[in-house]
Amino acid sequence: MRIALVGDIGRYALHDGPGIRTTVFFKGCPLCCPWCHNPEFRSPFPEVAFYASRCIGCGDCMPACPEGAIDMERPGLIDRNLCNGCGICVQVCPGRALELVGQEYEVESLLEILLRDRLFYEISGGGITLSGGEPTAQMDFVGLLLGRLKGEGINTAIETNGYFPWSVFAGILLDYLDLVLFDVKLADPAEHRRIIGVDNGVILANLARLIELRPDDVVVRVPLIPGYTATEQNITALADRVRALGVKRCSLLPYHPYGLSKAEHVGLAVDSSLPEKPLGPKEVARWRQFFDWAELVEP
Amino acid sequence: MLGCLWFKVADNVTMVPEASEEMFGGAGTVPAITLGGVDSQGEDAVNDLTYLMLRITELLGIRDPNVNARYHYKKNPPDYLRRVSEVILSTKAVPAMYNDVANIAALEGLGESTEHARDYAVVGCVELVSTGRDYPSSSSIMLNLVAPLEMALFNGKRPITGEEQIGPSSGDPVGMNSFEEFWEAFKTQLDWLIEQAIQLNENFGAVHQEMMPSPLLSVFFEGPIAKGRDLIQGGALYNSSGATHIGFADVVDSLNAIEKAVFMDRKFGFADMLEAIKSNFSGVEGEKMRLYLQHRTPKYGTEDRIALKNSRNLIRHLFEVYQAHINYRGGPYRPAYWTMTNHAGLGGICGALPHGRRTGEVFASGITPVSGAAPELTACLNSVAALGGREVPGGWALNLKYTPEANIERMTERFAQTVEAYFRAGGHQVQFNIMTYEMLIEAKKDPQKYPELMVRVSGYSAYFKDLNEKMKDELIIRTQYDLTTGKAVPFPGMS
Ligand code: SF4
Ligand code: SF4
Repeated sequence: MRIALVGDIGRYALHDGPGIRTTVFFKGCPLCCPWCHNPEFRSPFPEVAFYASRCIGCGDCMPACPEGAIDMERPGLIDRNLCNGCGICVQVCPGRALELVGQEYEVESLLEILLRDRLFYEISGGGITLSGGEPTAQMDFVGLLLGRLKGEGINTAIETNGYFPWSVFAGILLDYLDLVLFDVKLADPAEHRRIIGVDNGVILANLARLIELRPDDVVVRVPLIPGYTATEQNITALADRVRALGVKRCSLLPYHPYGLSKAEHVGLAVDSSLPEKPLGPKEVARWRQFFDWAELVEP
Repeated sequence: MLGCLWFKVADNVTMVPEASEEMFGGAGTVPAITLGGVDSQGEDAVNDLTYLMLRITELLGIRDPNVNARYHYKKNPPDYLRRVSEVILSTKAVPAMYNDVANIAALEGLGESTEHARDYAVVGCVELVSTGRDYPSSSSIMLNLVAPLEMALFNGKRPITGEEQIGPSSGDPVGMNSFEEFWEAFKTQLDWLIEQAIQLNENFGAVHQEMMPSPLLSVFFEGPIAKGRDLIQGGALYNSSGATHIGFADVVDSLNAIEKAVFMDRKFGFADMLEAIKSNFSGVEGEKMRLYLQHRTPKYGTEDRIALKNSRNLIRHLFEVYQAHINYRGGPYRPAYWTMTNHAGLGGICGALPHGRRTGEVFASGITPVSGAAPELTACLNSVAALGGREVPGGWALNLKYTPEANIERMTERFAQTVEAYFRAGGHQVQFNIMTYEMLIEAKKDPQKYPELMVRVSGYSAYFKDLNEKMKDELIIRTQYDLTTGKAVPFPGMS
């Protein structure tokens, strides 16, 4: 695949690896974590985001839609069952109320954008991070892109959910990666399947192989989600498990509710059990203790 | 002792007529002091005194002297950049920063010897001179770029002066078939206006030469004694005249909007656009068009291809037009982009524009992108830096506003890295206000609360309370970037 669907390109990113970076958010992810903080990148197809607060109610989008998916009376404006993500409505909207999430890029056109901030990477020790969605879901493209970035001498990182075919990852990605930010969420396989939709066996096996090959270049990232991952039982088991694999570096990602409003913009249902407040520093400090054996990297 | 010197320099305040408050609001005499950079041999000129002067600037936090820090990214130590960054974060405004590599090259481009170019200092706002050798008359011309744009839109007339034919007739845009035709019409008006301005300046110069020689001043310069010629007759080693331009970003964005919405996408006809502009985008349809133009056309400050092309073309064209002239003292004209408060004053008397700006609204300052038009910091810095080089020998003012942060150490690091990248990319100059929209809104509402709030205007510092209302508003709406995200912070109440 020489074309990828990209949800967003985040420049001046400070939390996805060292230095000042640009993060590419690939669109599409095979998992479905209820707390996903980038829900607009989960679907592998283009979607329209609607920002009600910017809408001036002009109604121009309604007749423009070829699918008849827009109704001014509908609370979220767009009938997601009818919308095919063509983006025509976005072109006519004068108010920035509609935005297309998901744009196709060839390697060269994406590379051109990513190299624009090269001086910032060089000066700060930064580079490029591939995130999402799930970048390994578009593995062929990512392999080509990483090859080009390495050719340009750019520091590279990937942020992955670990759910990928090992042989392909090891074959076309790993050699081009300086850093792997590897997410693990739940220790119990049955819970993992129930909540996220797939078994964690593949994920943990991939992590084990990765640690064996590149122990210093892996940071295990654990999202702290009240009611899901941030329970005594899960964190204890998870910390033991990754420690046993030989993991050296970890990051804890405290829950933040901004995923909720983003889900609404693309018409996704939100999990009502998730709190509206971010996780406080006291809570975070408590979970940090479970990882006192590891080098804790600030996310 | 340094502190006393700073006070002495600051206490020279001249009386100015009220009208000048519109255009040069809150300014003192703006005596400039330049620190750092390299010496005439190209070696690091930062020394203990540099750090002492930075400390005094930090301690006093007064409007004048206008302190400028030169930075040579190949020669000056990282400690110096960090220290300058710290002082800016702590005073929230000063010093302004200058890129030695770009500025020395710009002066050399005008025929100054390398040694002399390296020994430059800043005068007035952001203008560059080889100290004691250069008699630059740097604000000889202050030209409103929006005037020729309006004249191109209305075939030589302007909304503010009604039916009076001011410029040449360059054709009715309604009949034009391509953006290039409009660009030619704009250049016709612009070149005509520049000719007028240069002619006026030459006339002033001739009067000045005849009536007001400056023998005392001449003694302080290299050249007049050796040549036996007064400064005003061209006695100095270098004899330029400066021409600064107001409304750069607004004109570029208007050109972008015309190119994209009228000629490429055929979203609006030129006739409809002109009607909307004349009526100040009135009515529902007018407002819809205004929002579309504001949100959906290419913006200077985003690295959009069209915007980059138009911004570069305008810079290049201005440079070429001025280079075709020699001033009355035998030196070149130097185009520049600093605006003091002219961008607020002149904005107040200009009509609505094709990029969605309403009648009377302020223009963007200096070389800064239009407020709210450049949402990403790195893209903004890259697209400004892309204009750098020899075609802006008169200097420019880029105004940035950053959110203050609690962790000063971390902020200092990112602040310094960001300036470094902008300079390496070719940016000439940058100055900062470290404050939020809310802070300034409150300072406008309740001046007692912020009696000493000092801000960077466009090349000089002023006390916020001294500025007129329009200029206060301009400072409030300037894009505020957050150095933890590299993104523009949404204006309060906007999403
Ligand atoms: S993206 Fe296309 S199908 Fe979906 S609402 Fe907009 S115009 Fe209709
Ligand atoms: S076109 Fe945009 S602003 Fe107008 S009704 Fe549709 S979403 Fe709202």
